[in-house]
Amino acid sequence: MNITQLRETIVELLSASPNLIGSYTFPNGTSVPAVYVVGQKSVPTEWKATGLEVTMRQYPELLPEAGVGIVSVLQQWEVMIVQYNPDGKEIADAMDRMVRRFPDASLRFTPGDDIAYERCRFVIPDMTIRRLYPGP
Amino acid sequence: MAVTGARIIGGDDIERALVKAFEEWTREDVNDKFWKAQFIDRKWKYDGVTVRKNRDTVGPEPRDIYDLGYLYESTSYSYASSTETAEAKWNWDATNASGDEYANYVHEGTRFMPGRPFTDDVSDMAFSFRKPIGKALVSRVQAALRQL
Repeated sequence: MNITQLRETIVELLSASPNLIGSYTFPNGTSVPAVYVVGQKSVPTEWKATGLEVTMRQYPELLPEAGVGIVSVLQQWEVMIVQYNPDGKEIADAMDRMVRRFPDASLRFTPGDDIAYERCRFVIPDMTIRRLYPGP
Repeated sequence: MAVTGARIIGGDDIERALVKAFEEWTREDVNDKFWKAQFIDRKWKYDGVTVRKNRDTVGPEPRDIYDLGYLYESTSYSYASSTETAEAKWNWDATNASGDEYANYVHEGTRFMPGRPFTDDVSDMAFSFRKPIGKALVSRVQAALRQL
């Protein structure tokens, strides 16, 4: 799995009817679904998030183990969902869909308060077998 | 006809060796090394700027979570074992100027800052025997069993 596949999978999972994903509103008033891949930059502070935000790290943590002519690589992907509207219930449904789609994921839910929004962080394991490089 | 079999002898000794290896791992690898690495050596992604009481500013740039040391110094550790379990626990109870504990905010993030999950590698969140701290536990267990 790569980041494109992970993003597509999660967007499809959480946007299925009823759509759970909130929106980002740019300074010019344009809105887009609140899904962001965190690479060198985090979500721009001038984007206003409403509803449920989904962010994921661009690169997984790679945990290799050598084999004969191959390497097995455990990738750990981190995904975060945050409920920006305190009265929203989307995060509960989103967690339900996530654990059913990624049953081997670990998750940590943090209740909301004056300082932090309600959030749930997932670590999704993904084992891949790769040929040694360089090679076919 | 061929017959083979296997049995474990000295099960209590094996169990004691495993528990001892686990305790030494929590004390020497986690307490003495892992937390220092997480709090002091590791630089975490951080886009925000912190303005201190003396008006100094820090960031935005990757930074450690040792900062002024209050959270790190608030680490407490407990270990207990019985015939059924061996369990180690860690707790951080540093408080901010408002008197609120903030370890979980550092760990999971807030609306103002990203999370820096410093316990993940030794918790069920992201522990793996492929990580250095997991390999350290395997090494201790292997060494303990070799000594039997």
